[in-house]
Amino acid sequence: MARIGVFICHCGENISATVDVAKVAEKAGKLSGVAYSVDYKYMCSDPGQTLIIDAIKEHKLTGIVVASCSPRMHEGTFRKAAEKAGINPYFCEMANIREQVSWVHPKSDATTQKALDIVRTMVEKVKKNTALTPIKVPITKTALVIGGGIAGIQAALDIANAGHSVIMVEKKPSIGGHMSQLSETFPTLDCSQCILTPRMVEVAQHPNITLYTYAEVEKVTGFVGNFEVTIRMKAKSVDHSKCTGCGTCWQKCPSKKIPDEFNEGMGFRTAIYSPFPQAVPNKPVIDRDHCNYFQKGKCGVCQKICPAGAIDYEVQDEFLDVKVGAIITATGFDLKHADFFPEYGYGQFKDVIDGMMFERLASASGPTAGEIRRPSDGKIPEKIVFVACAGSRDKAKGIEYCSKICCMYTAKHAMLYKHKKHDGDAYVFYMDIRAAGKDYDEFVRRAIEEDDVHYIRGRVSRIYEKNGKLIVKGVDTLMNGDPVEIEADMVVLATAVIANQDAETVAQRMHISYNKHHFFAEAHPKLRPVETNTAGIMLAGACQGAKDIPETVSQASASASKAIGLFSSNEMTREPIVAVVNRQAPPNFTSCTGCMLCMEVCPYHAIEREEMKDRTGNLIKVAVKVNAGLCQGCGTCVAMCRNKSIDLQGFSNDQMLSEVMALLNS
Amino acid sequence: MTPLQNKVAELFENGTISLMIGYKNAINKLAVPCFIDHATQVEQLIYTPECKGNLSVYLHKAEIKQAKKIGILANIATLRSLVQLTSENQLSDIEKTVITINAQNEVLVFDNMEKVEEYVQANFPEYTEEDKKLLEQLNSMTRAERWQYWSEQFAACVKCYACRAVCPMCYCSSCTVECNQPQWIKVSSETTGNLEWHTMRAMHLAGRCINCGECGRICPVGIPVHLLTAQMNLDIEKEFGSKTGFSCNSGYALNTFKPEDKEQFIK
Amino acid sequence: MSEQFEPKIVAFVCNWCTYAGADLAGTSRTKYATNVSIIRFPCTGRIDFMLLMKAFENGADGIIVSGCHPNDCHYTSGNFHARRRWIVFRSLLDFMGFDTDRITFSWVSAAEGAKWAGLVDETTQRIREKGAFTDFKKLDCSTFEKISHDAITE
Ligand SMILES: Cc1cc2nc3c(=O)[nH]c(=O)nc-3n(C[C@H](O)[C@H](O)[C@H](O)COP(=O)(O)OP(=O)(O)OC[C@H]3O[C@@H](n4cnc5c(N)ncnc54)[C@H](O)[C@@H]3O)c2cc1C
Ligand code: SF4
Ligand code: SF4
Ligand code: SF4
Ligand code: SF4
Repeated sequence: MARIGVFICHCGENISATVDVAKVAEKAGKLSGVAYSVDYKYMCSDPGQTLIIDAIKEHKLTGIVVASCSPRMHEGTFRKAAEKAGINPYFCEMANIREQVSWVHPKSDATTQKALDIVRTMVEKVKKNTALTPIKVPITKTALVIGGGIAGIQAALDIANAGHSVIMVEKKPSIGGHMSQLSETFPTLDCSQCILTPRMVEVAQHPNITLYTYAEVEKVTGFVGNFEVTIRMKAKSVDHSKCTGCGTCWQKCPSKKIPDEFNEGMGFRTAIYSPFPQAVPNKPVIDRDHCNYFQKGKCGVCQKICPAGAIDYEVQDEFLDVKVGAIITATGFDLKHADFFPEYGYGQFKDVIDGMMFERLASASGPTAGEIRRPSDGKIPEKIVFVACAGSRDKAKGIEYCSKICCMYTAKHAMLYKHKKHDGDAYVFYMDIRAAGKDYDEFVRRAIEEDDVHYIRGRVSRIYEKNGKLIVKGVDTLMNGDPVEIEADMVVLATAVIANQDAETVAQRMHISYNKHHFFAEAHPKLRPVETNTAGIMLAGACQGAKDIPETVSQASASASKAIGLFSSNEMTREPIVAVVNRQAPPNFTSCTGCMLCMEVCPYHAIEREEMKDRTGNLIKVAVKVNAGLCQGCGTCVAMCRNKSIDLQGFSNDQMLSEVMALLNS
Repeated sequence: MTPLQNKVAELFENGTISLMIGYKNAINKLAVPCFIDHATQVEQLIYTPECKGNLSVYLHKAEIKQAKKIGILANIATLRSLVQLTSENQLSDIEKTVITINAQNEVLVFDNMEKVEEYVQANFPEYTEEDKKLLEQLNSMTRAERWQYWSEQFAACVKCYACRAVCPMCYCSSCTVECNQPQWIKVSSETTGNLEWHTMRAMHLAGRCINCGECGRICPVGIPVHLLTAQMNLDIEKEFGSKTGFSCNSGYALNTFKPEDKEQFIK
Repeated sequence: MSEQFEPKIVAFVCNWCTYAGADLAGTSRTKYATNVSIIRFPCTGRIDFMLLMKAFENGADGIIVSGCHPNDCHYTSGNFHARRRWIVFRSLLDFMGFDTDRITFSWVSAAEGAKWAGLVDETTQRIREKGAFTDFKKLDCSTFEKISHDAITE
């Protein structure tokens, strides 16, 4: 038999001024199953809580209803009190008679009646409550960082420096990401490699970091604190434990005409290669698609000459299973490329290039050793036109968002050009100048005022070639929309920042959400900008949306701090408000029919297939189960299940129906 | 022997099936289900316009499932239920051969669901003229008239649950009407309880019902229960563009959503 | 003068938006009708249509169902699922001739205390005008002769 205690709070005068609390206490005392009821000035005060604790002990109460403020305010307080008195804290419910009664209604019988109705409802609910135990989840204190751009590097170093292990997985043969390709960086114009390379080396040498390059995440299962990850280690064909990085192989490799990705196709590399001189690790891999041995079956030069005997043509992709507690996704971005701008002749005219190509031309380690020369004939251009917003903020092109970094790097490019060619002319076509960062506007102003870059507000409509010049046609909207025509030697398009091609696949593997442009979605755009809606998976850098380096690094550190916070204890306690699928004796096992229709509704992919087998291992039934580590307790699955096989602890069918009945039947 | 009988005999003989679910004649000229497990019995098999029953419902029976290789004679509604049931993961443990007879009176044998799906999509049925007319009439009534109509219909329901028993989509091992903790539906057949039962049934089948019409045909007191789900399927197709029993992995209208779903009534 | 009819209205709301919005109406001391009592669910996705049926059966004159605005769901998509469910449920009720105006569906955010108060008053007034919900009660008292469905095909 239930023995419920009802505690009516006056909240000073906040409740008692409009609700006849004594009457509510008196009537509540007569409800079936109520063994004790009382009203008191401040239930949440120390004496109030003592009163509750004593009453539970003295009257051997099995559950309590505290009628006072909103449960959003004090549910935790009273549950703790119940626990102190020796009953399960989930046998405590609150009736909200302040925010939803006394504060919104005048003093009247109807108000008192409503308070009583709510008390009765909660009394009936608490009778149906069951003892619940908070869910304890152990935590594996290792973080997985996916992507070795500046975002991944920063996050990995932060976590590793806090004393936890980190596994970093990078798709390419070297870490560094886009930042390693940049020449100099706004707003300070410091050399990108100079600030990045030490960090890359630190990652490689850090005792807490295990680095897997030329690797990808194949599969993620499990939940916060307990992810199981399969990593695919693509066959490098070079045994890095033997290789010394001497470089003999790539000097001798006969397959030399492969467009060099690191230099954006402006130069060549060999089939066995390390992408750039400062690569980490600076050891080669064989690009099997271009290797003579793999394509034609003969060659084997590298194997013959390798002094360390590190070349191995036979190795296959390997799979590695690791356990991690948190995942930081830092897979970065991509840029819109050729054929997206037929009207600008990109991909057609060699001297219409994109921003990243310009970075390589301006970089001391680039194909021109830092001299800005046209790709077509190697001449130094006299006049360059820069086009901002190439593709961005253009609904017609399907990219309505702002790429955020282009205004700044275009100003930087124009400046770098002017610094190298003082008598050259730089024009920038722009829509608006968005330079809202620390020292950013000053930077753009410097380009305009000190370096004499000509800014023209307007769109470029067409670019075509005439007599070896690129004719750029556009309008100047600040001059009444007058047409402008510039004869340029080179055009640089600040093409839109887009998500990686494989972003959707990556998101699906990790069960995280993404927007329609395939940028990964944060759990809350304002208040949880670095977490995803899957607990334990965080975002860092441009994979979440276009970002510059300072912003990328801040977000990376923020997500690292989330991981470090998670790792600060050995286990995690979660509210037991989770769904459960009923269980029955064999041969039924459960009333669940395994229709799996609920799987789809769960926003957290918490519902899993379960196979029921008899003693000899024969499959008897397929049903589902809920992974309590993933379930967040929304209950959407419960309302979806036709035959009520799945229920939500704390808001069960029995409890909710009792509430409805109690509210309406006085 | 008819081509159908020949074909089934052949399937028995070459070991493709060990049990055949089909129709046979009944005294009142109607067709009733029959289950045969040997080639010698194929002469019972018929396929006439009377063969309306949806035989897929038997695939949920444990006794039937025991037969390892099942042949099933399927009219278009049955084919649709097979597709829908596959999408609901209910047929994965059954090795089945599906036989149908097309408009040209040819016997077609499908050994996998992709082929069934393809056939269903090419021959997707419309509602019967009678049902279309009834729906139109109900929709042209005033709300109060409709309430009166259904109240009268539901008043007669005796909660025999025959409509549930013939429904291939009502395969729950324990239906919510049998659930007593809490008791969702009153046990006795008062009209409010009946109304709740029918509302629940219609909601559970909206977007899953494959419009075979069996429930309406079987009801001993003649309630056209099938109209409820028939109307819901129309509404769902209009609102969300999804069809039932159309594709083996098309999903269910009520377990998916689009952020841009439209409605006029949420304030 | 006869006393004004005071309907009983049950509100099914989610914890994160509408419940919080109703709390805000309280902290802002916005006054509204006493007729509506709230039952708190974690999410609109949890609200089973059967509970609405049960509320009417047990004497509710009206119902409010409310949760987070689209895109604001605490669990990202519970309200989207709920919306589809209500679209279908409401059209089923309508097809059965049930007066769907007795149910108010709404999105009320945690910041919309005033909207909540207005919604309660507006719903209470609407149900007051409609009067008590007796359709269900009548069902069980009257004895219907079932007309064959030929009657409607005439
Ligand atoms: C032309 C140009 C000029 C710029 N100039 C500046 C500047 O001057 N100043 C400034 O602040 N910012 C500048 N930026 C912006 C800067 O490049 C970015 O902010 C920064 O690179 C973002 O870092 P990230 O680590 O998020 O992404 P990325 O640099 O893209 O790194 C992502 C890494 O993840 C790896 N990866 C991708 N997918 C996977 C996968 N599935 N599995 C494993 N690994 C994967 C990639 O190989 C890469 O190494 C510029 C950008 C451009 C395009
Ligand atoms: S819990 Fe319900 S909805 Fe989910 S698979 Fe089982 S029967 Fe289907
Ligand atoms: S309660 Fe919500 S989060 Fe938990 S399993 Fe069900 S749908 Fe998923
Ligand atoms: S509708 Fe007909 S078949 Fe269904 S339970 Fe009622 S009486 Fe039985
Ligand atoms: S009425 Fe609903 S719960 Fe009952 S068997 Fe049919 S689908 Fe299952």
